[in-house]
Parts: sequence; structure tokens; C-alpha cells
Amino acid sequence: MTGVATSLSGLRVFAVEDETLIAMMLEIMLEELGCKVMGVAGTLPRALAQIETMDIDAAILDVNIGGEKVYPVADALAVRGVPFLFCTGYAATGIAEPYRARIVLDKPYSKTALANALAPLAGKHPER
Amino acid sequence: MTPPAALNTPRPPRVLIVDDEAANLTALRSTLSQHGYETEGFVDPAEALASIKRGAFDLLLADLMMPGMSGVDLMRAAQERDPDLVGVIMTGEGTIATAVEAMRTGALDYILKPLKLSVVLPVLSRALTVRSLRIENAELTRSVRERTAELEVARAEAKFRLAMDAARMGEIAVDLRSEQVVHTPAFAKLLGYPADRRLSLAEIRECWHPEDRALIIQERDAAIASGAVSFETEYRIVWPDGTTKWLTGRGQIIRDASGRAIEANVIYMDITERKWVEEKQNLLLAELNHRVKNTLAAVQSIALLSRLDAPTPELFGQRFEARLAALAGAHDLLTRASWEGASLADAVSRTLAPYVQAGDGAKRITIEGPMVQLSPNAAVTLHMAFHELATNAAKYGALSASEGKLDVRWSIDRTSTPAMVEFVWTERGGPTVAPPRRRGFGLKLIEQGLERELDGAATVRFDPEGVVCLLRLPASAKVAPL
Repeated sequence: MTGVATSLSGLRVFAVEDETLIAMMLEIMLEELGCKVMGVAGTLPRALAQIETMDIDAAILDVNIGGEKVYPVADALAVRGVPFLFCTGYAATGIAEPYRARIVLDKPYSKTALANALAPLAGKHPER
Repeated sequence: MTPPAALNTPRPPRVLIVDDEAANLTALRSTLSQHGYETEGFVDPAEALASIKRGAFDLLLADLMMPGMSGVDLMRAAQERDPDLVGVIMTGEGTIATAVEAMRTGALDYILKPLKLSVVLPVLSRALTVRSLRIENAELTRSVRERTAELEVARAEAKFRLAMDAARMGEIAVDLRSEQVVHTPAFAKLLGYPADRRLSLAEIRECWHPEDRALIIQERDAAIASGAVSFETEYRIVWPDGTTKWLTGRGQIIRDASGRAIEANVIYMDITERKWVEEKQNLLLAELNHRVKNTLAAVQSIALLSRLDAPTPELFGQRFEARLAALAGAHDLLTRASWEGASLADAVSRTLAPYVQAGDGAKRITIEGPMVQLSPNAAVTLHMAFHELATNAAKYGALSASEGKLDVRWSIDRTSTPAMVEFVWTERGGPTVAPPRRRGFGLKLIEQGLERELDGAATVRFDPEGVVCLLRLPASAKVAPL
């Protein structure tokens, strides 16, 4: 685990999660993994506004945000070349076709599972 | 006198004459031939009998008294071979009684010897007429019986059609060589056409849903190639008005001796409604799965955050259990409303219910505000936030002292856009409040929940005279003032 933790150290992560309890846990897990939590948005407009002004290395997107799909945020991140992963309580088949190749983290997830899902993203960002 | 022509037989009537006296026989044959009869004669009854087969003769004219076999016996045996054969017995005067007996056993008439032409011809003619009538009658009876059977088949068919119609089933037969199609009116209706519309195979294929077309063809070809005699299928069609429907079909493939498929008969049924229910059920299952997993994640979060917060394992255990109970309470609220959400008043009341019910709680606690509908997630978050406020109040605040008062009220500021729900939690009369040394789970939950999840703002003030919590929640789908 040390290896993974090291590779995630300093990683600037942004998250979209609309359930406060889960968002709070995610934030703590990310901090424990050495990541810098740049922001956690609970709504799509907030998420879209925040990623405009932030330098981020990776993003974690809950698929279902207040009854809407998070895909607009995914598209905006893709345009900016920011790697991202999805997390969902739905089965992975609940992810729309164009995004199926992305990493999917099933809820509930452990810190280890989170670290393993983030690791491939950490190496991808052009600035890192 | 001309013999009557037998029905449907425009040939001369054929008479088999049996008389052991050869002279009589010859004379009679010759006479009858001259009057338009075709005759055959035997002196030996056994030989005569051997010559009889169905339809060979119309009439048997037999002498009563013959050696070896009487005319009556011959007639009976003959009629066994040909039931349509009519018999006439020739007899001398002394044996009229026997002749009468003969008639009882099946002879149609008798003629007294010596024969007189003026007697013989009318008797034969009448016998032949009776024969024709009997045959005609038998034919009519048979035809009536057949027609009745046909009607019964038609009635059974009609009943079957009615049942098919009632079950919204349509039937189609396709000649696989000529591609000719025969279908019931119900089939046209299944495809969205008027019942009297006759569809061609090309028109039927036009109805196939574009996305199912390849599968339909593949399944059909596979069924035909496999040598199967029956098959089942299920696919979508598109009605002329654009509606999509689901059909299920059970079919038979009729094959010739070499196994080549020559015809397909299929009964189709509309299962759109069943499909809809299935889809709805799958959606519900997916939704349930989602909620269970999210709830587990929430429990996981409560455990993690409570652990980080708690100074001792005992306190962790107490707080974790209390928060779990609060989460369960939030779910109870939602379940009562079929997970459509809950009202703000319900979320507050449920949290404070134990304190309202205890002692003079009802006097010390005021809950007041207009109807605000919360989405399921918002209800859970706010319920958990209120739980934290209430627990704090019960331990250190207004609810920990007998004279303490708690006032919870909210109003809607409709001057701003969007409208703003302004919520105030005011504690008074409790022990003097000191601000907490660190921001724990409860505070974080209130602030972050309001800000991130509900786009609102939360302020928790630890005034010495009591805790005040101000929440500003913009109206949205999650927080909807009525």
C-alpha cells in the first residue's frame, strides 16, 4: 500500500458527490491517502463552475447527482484532459455506453479500493 | 311402361333374376329387356349371390321356392352385400303367407305366379322408385349430417376466434415457398391496422422494429434450418402511428416429407404491458440496489467519522449507534412516503419526538413553519443534521436543563430568486454555552450538507445564552416550498 499511497501523494483531486455523509468520508479518505482535496461539489452547476477555475489532476464522479447524470461534468473534464473515474451504487452496466471504458468504483468502497482506482489516473495527467 | 331412371344414374335399371326354372328365367329376361331393363339371370341362387357386389344391380327378382336357398334367404344375403339392393319375391298362389313373411324380412313386394306383364312392370317400377327414394334419402341424411358437422366445426372455430380475440391473439399462416400470407383480423389489429385490413408479408416486415430486425431474421432462419417443428419468438414492432409494441409468438413449421419447411403458422400476442411491468420492475430493482449501496456507504461514513471524532471507544459506540438510529429514522420517514421524500416539519418533528414526549417537553419545544417538501437525499441529510443539533442540545444545551426552551421555526423569503427557506433553531434557558474546541462530525455535517448538497448556507452560533443555528436553503427540486 505504501507504493500506492506514495504515488497518490499530492494528487489534486476534485469530487462530485451529492450525499453529504459519503462526501465527508471521501474527503477524509483522500486526505489519508495524501491527496489534496481541491473541492467536493454536490450539484452539477457547482461542479461545472468549480472545474473551470481549478487545477486538478484527477476527479471522482458519482454517477447520479440529485437524480441527474454526472456526464456533463465528465465531458467537461475530458475536454480539459483531466482523468476521472466514476463511482456508483448502480451496477457498472448503469453507466452510459461512451463512458464504459472508464474506471468504476462500486459503492460502498474502502480506502484501499479508492486508492487502487485512483492510481491509474495519477500517472495519466500530462502535468504529472 | 318405362322404368324410372335411378337418381344420378341415367343408365337402364339392372335387374338380377334368379329362378330355378330355366324356361321362366329366359322368358322373363327377354321380356324385361324389351322394356328397357338390363338383366342378368341365374338358376342357381348361390351363383347369383356370388355375382352381387355393391352397385352391381338395382333390383333382385327372386323365386321364393328354390332348391338349396330360398328366395328370402338369398335376398337377405344379397342385401348384406349391397344394402341399396331392393328385392321382389316371385311366388305361387299357395305361398302368399310366405311371401308376406318375406316382405317383413326385407323384400319390397311380391309378384304372384304365373307372371303377368301388366303386374310385373308396375311392381318393378315401384320397387325401383322406392330404391331411388331410399338412396336419395340416405344421401340427404348424410349431407345433413355433414353440414351439421361443418356447422359445428364453424361454431368451434368461431368460439376459438372469439377466445383468440379476447386474449388479443392474432394468427398468421405463411407459405414459405410463395410467401403468400393468410391472417386473422386480430393479427392486423396487433400490428396497428384495422381488423379488415389484409397485410402482405412485405407490409408485415415493415412493422418490425429496426433494432430487432436482424434478430428476427436470424431466429427465423435458425428455426427453419434446424429442422424444428415449433418455435417461440419475442420482439418489438412499430405501429403505423409510431407506437412501439412487444409481440410474442408461438409457431409451428410444417415440413414436407424431405423435411423442407413449407409453411409456418404462428399465433401472436401483445405483451407490451407485461414488458412494461418487467422493465419497471428491473428499474425498481436497480434503484433498490443503488439505495442499499448508498445507505451502506452512508453507514460506513458514519462509522469512520464517528471513530475520528470519539475520544473513547465507548463514546464511539454510543454515538455510532445513535447516528445509525437517526439514519434509520430518516429512512422510516421516506418509506412512509414511498421514498418520494418527506416534509421539513416531519424531519424536525421526528428528530425531536423523544424530547417533546418526555416530561413537559411539549411546552418547552416549539416547531413551526410552512410546508416544505424535501427530496429523499435532502431529507436524510437534514434529518441527520437535526439529530446532531438535538443530541448536542440534550447533552449540553437547552434540552439538558428543565427550564430550557427550544424554538424551531422557518419561513420562506419569496423576495429573493430563487425563494429562500430561512430556518432558525434557537436554544434558550440552558446552561451557559461555551464554543466547542474543535469542529466535530455534527458541525461539519450541517455546514457541508447545507453548502454542498443543498447550495445553502449554515451558521451555527454558540452564543452564551444558547446555541443558534441559521440555515438558508434556496428553493430547488430538493427543497421545495409549497
